[in-house]
Amino acid sequence: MSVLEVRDLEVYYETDGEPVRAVDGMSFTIEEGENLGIVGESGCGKSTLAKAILGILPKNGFINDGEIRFDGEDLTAMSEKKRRSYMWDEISMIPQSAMNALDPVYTVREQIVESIEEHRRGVEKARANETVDELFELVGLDPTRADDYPHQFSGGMRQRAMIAMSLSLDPALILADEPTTALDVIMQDQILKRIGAIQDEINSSMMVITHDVSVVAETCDRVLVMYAGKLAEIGPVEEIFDTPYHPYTVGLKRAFPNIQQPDQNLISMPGYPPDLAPPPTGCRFAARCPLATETCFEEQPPEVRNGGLRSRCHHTDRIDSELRPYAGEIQVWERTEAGREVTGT
Amino acid sequence: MSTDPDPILEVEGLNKHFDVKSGLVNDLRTRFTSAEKERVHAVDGVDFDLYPGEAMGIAGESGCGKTTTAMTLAKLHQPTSGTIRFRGEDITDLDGKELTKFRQNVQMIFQDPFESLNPRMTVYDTLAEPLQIHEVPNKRARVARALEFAELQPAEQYLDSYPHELSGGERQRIAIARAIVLDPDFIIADEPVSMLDVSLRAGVLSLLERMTNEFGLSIVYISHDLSLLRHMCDRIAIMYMGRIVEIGTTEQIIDDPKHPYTQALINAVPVPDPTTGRERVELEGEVGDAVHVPSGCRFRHRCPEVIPPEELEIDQRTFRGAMSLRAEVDRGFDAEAFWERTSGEDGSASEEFKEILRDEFVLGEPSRQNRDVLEEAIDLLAEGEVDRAGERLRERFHSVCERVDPATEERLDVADDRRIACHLYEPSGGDRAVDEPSTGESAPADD
Repeated sequence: MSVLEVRDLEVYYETDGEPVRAVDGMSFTIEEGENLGIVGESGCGKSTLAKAILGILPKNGFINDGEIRFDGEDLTAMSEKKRRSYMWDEISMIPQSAMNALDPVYTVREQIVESIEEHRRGVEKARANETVDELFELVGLDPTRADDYPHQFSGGMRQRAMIAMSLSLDPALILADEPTTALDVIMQDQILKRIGAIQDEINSSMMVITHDVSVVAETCDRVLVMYAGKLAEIGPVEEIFDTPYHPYTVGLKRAFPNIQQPDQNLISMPGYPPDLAPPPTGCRFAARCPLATETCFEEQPPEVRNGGLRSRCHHTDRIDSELRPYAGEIQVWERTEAGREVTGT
Repeated sequence: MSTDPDPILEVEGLNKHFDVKSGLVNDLRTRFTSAEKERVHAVDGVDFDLYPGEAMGIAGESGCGKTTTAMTLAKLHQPTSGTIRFRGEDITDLDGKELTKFRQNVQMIFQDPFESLNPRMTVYDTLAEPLQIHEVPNKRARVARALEFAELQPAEQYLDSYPHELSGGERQRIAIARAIVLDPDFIIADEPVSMLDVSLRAGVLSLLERMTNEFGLSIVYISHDLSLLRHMCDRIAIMYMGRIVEIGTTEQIIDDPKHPYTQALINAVPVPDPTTGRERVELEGEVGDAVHVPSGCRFRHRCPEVIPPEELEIDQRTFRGAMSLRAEVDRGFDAEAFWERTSGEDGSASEEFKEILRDEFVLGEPSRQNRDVLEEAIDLLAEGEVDRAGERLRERFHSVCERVDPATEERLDVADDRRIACHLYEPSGGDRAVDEPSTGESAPADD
């Protein structure tokens, strides 16, 4: 059963001129016990999507249309009070700058206990303290350190403490926004391993937002690729990595060095995501796409199924023959509209 | 590249220590009492050569000393001791005019382009400032050329911009342009792309590659990202707690890592391919305290391959458990901490206490003799006989890794230009069998 179901979601930001359509018609689900990865460049709407789900959009952001169903209930239609009761209890988050998310003037224990007491009225202090100890064990921290202040923790330990806090109310869904970006490899490895183990234990679902495709490859069951507020492609992690059918995914995959494949060329797709106030008429990736034709600039792409993948592209049938074999050559990407602008030819 | 006979940079026994506490009061205190000054051994005996046109990577966890090493090379920190030679000339103690002259040849690219550019200076001012300081003529043309090289075209369009008007990728390109505007001989790049978005990284990396190729520059990359270093470097040095533990060509280090720490570091790198599993090495904890550095090998507390005495038959897990218990005892054994975890009921507590110690320290599949010694020590600890427990443990469980610092010995036998600071790779099997077991007195400061 789906824990989360997002349907035709539109999230806009109010500006002086046209509103910015940061998330524009997204639909997807997260199943029970599933890890869904959300990848894309900065500014493609990943964090906006997470904020919309958590109900913490900035003042000028609003949900224009669509539904966010949690356990069948539409979060966008319920009262603020009711909605708040879901947050942290059912849906929790591991924020992007977890390093700075802890309050420096309270001990780590006080902060976790506070969140438990806030949501579980009447819980005994001793029970809450016990929970903190258990959580610390779970994330690999020494429970005797719970009475320390955040500054006494290293970056990796603070990140673990944040994970402990996000688990404190046994949520059904955890949103992790770049959970390991600020950490070094060893710490990243420890945290990823921990996240995997915790999930096996408590069977919660997780939405992992990251720009690092390696992290997704190692932690997620399915991947959603976002581009300029739209879903570009979604499907099982193996298929996304092995045979993606959206040109953007093909290019994105090429942007990462792989320690096991030293000779692979790194590709940086020329250009930037488009301005979203208002967005371009046709496919949003058209200006940077080597396969783009006139249709792409005029019409929104249809959703095409290939195996387990749902891809929004006019030319999925040309990927195998015209793009995949040549994706490692930068010239291919420079022959696009954005590429011509950059190289000045 | 390493065949070139004359290195551009020779680093020998480089140390950079920082005082833990500084200030007048503390100075007086240490002067008038015999209290030893506490020091952070951020860089502690680093040796390497850098050749012209070479790209060398320095990798390691946070806190291993890689950034301090880089800043000391650029003379942004004055080394505590050791020598740095640039083109054969000792630059360790340069100051005044000569330091300025040296700095013309060395430039740094920092991690965060949002912080490394002055927000009140235009791009032109930022790039012209070094030219001004070093009194280089033809500023405008040089600035334009540097910008064009950094693929910021047309240059005129950028000259009057302020950093906040530029994207992260453009800012890092400005930082690169600033680094090459003086036409330096070598560049130090500290995590040059870790703050950049994916889509921009590959572009900045290829610019850096082009920079080294076209100008024949030498470059030192500081990063914890080994997949990046594999892509960019000819040689890689792995640092741990202020030391280089292994150095060799990129292929040697990545494809055939020898030092257990290098192996752990490489196994921790996630792979962007869900179908290739990787072997995970269990490496818990963090680099640790560089104030009280451990005796012998600094990695031994986390090392999965600590070497037991030759005559002792023991599996690695049991040995590590025994050594951890010993470390606990050597540190004075905080019995309270373990008693606290018992329910504290009279009578049963002692048994419970022992069980807690067993759970934590009796690991693997100990042979009967090994188990007996551990049990005996645990009994002694339950009775409060910490010293005797320590003696009993030290008699049986000791290691060359805690006695001899592997970095102080020449270890060039594995391959010509490869060094590994680890007792597993003794030149001739080693002399560890004849080493006397260490005693409590002779064991130096332990963390």
